[in-house]
Amino acid sequence: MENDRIKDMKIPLHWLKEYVDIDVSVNELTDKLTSIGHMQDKKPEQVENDTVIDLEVRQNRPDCLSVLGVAREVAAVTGKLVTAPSAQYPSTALRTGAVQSTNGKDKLHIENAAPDLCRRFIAYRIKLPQRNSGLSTPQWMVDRLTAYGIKVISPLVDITNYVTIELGEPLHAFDMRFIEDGEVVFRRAHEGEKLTILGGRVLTLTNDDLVVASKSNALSLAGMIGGADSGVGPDTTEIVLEAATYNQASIRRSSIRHSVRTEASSRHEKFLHPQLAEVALGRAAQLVLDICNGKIVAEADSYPKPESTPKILLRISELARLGGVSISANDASGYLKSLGFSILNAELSALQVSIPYWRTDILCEADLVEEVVRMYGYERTPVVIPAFAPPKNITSYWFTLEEEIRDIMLAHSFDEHITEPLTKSDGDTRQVVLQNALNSQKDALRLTLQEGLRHALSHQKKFGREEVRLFELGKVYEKADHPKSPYTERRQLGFILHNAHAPTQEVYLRAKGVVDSLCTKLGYTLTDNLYQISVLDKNSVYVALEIERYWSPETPRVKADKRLYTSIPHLHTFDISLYLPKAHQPGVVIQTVKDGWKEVENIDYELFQPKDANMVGLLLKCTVSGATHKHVLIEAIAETLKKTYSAIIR
Amino acid sequence: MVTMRDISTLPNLLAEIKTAEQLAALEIEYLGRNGHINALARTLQKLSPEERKEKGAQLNALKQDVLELFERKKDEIQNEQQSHLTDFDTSLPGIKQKSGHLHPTSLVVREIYEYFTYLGYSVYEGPEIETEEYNFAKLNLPPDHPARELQDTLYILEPEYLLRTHTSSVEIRCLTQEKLPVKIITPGKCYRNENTNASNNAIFYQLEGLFIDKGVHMGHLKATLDGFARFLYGENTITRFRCKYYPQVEPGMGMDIQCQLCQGVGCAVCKYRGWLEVVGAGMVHPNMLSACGIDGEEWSGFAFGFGLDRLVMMRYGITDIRSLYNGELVWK
Repeated sequence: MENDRIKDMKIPLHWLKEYVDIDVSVNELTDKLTSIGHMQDKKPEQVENDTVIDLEVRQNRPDCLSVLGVAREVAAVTGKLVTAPSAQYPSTALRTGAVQSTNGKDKLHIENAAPDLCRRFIAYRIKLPQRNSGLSTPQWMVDRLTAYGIKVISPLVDITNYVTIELGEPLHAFDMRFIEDGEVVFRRAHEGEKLTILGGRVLTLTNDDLVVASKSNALSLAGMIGGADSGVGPDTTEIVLEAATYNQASIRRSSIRHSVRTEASSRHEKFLHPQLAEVALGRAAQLVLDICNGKIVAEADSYPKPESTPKILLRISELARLGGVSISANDASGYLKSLGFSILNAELSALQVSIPYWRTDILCEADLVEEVVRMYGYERTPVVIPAFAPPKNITSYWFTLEEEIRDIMLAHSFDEHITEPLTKSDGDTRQVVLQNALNSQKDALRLTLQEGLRHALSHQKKFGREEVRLFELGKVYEKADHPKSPYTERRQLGFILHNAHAPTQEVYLRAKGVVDSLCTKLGYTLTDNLYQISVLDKNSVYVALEIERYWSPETPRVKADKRLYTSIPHLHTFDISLYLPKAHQPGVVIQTVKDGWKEVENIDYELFQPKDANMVGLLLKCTVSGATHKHVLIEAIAETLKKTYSAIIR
Repeated sequence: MVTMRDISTLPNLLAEIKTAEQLAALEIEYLGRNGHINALARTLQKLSPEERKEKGAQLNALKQDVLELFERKKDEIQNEQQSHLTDFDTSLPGIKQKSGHLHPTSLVVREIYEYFTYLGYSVYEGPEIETEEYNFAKLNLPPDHPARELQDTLYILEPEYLLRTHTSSVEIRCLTQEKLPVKIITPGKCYRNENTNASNNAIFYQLEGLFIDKGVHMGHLKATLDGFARFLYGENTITRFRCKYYPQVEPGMGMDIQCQLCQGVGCAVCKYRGWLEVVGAGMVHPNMLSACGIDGEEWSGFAFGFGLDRLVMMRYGITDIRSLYNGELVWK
């Protein structure tokens, strides 16, 4: 539930007021909009003669990428009525979606060769009484577009931009001179086809891109941006004005593929209802007629599979079950109507709701619950302390174990680090490599925790730390052979021990001692395969513990709280001093004593060099607990060491 | 035979004593088996029962006095000895004892964990390498859903295998594996395909929560989150709930806290809104429940989530997000 990047929408207030009365302050207005789901993004901006508010628009609300859409929300939340702009177009024939072409001489024919990418295409062929350059955009439109932040270009372009912002349906006007024989084709681009877009960039298209084309060449990247050559210019006297509904996923992919983001693409990549196309086209045509004295000479509509608007049943009980608030059917109906929903059938227990075409986000009953509750006000719904019986504790075994390990490592004066699992791929075949990493330094997952901790160590050394103890609990990742899970991840404990003044052996043995102590504290048996010690340099070692491999929930464990507490045993100490042939390791000898005599609690030792260069001197300082016959024990140990290792007892 | 009067000379005798050895000898003289006190006790045997009772009580009181005198002297001698033990510069600093530090993210996770375990939540974990199904499809994010693009997903094998973009995938793991009701929080690493800068990183920590039971509604969600805000940001924290869109919930909700720097007036930190978005939440979407084989008519529940890194940075005065996870954090 991370905040996604959301398109913001600028709303010039004068423009907004054309559709709805506003009698609250700007602050009250933005507060109300924020509470119903349209959060104010930036501070309201003062432009010439107007105030522009900036709203974060929810990803699923393309209707709010329009001034009218926001006006509908404002009307609903302030109890006003919304007045949509009126237009006498489209004609009845277009409304039914029946027309394909008209007028013998001034032909307009649409061929939709990619119905999977274009759900509807609707267009007018319009003649102007004079060249575009002789016309001027009315001041009110100039003011609104300027306040919104769109450059004023020429009446025809301005009208398409104006309606895009007003109604949320992007429109486009082609100069008729580029459309041979009135034939407009919707087709997938040819692989490698070039298109020079507005602004002069040349795109190399793929078969997954949709273009609007004349018989001979592509005119625009459909739903996104016009071609540099086919748009209206100063000499334009006849146009094709079009609106369309596309496959939004295809638009989105094209937009990413070509890094083209426009007012058009950001709307078309969301689900715009095909009905909006005809409403917007009608509005734009009306403006062209009014402002430019244009005349419609032909019209066409390709709408192979007409889209219906859904009807959804809202059970009033759901408002309480999900929203936790009791709202009557009557009130719920009022809230929904204020938003433009129509109630087909109203009962005390349920409402049959018809969804307006512009609300393509409403797909199920829960969506209607949200509509009602947000109009009722999230702030007003009751706050109820949950009083449910607590469910079973299903806390992850690993979370608990890692927390225990953290505490023990802290007690051993290790500092915790968390380093990035992303690393640079190094050709190791076990490595999990990413396909689309933006950063080539981080294009794979780590096989070890060592790299991150080493970096941490060098950083600390660079700043003069002479004794460093670091640990990390994290995952390492590897390719696996298993067909069901081709990748594995497993938890490790990694730690680094560094002491600028200690010899390697001491650092090494201290690290080993930490592993030993960790096992003892956790109640696990120390095994050789559990850990691996690597000497990094003469004063530092790295230790990796395969905790997930060897400390699973099934691993036998004697937890500290399960150990028996006894009265304190008396401790006795004694020394055994011996010479050991060099062929034998003192560590093995110590382990033999530890393994053979459980009453020996601890063995400290000292190594020394006797005169005989073939021998090693070993002084064992044993601590035994409980009542014991020391001399018997010493005798037994000495005898064993003599026999097993040819030791000479001093 | 010793009389009470002899005992009265004891303080004088004790005053002359300098060492523990002298004191021990004197103690035997008085309290030993053949000492004065026992000698007195023996004289009681010859008395009549009534007299014995009266004198016995006196003797006991006397014995207590003697014991006390000796104890006091013992303490005195010991204290004198100890004053010699501290015959060095005690103003020198103590010898430093080292212990480790937790990573600030672990500290914050522990803090949050404290609140939610108190409310009966478990900590649930899931894999970081996820499948499209668990990261998207089951979360009401079908292929081509606009939100998928915004996730900036890092793919291992497109489109099937990826690095999880949120810990919502862990909620799905839980709902498909565990018996209802469930109450979990899911802290963990998430990934996005982004070039790193001071405020964005390819890896980030998220914590989500999920509560599914019979009859869970928005009122419970509001109470849970309001309590959380006041637990984390201080009891006087002012919260605000508003409608917000997330694909995996419906109705969706956002919780803001009033900006504590400007008290809601508006400043650079809160982008002049007066409020800071802290948690995204909502009622679990019926599509998500049914994708996990749960009957949404019987069960309902809420989910909430937020990024941990910004919170960690605020708590510990860290200004560059990169320093959180690049191994360069050093404790002061």
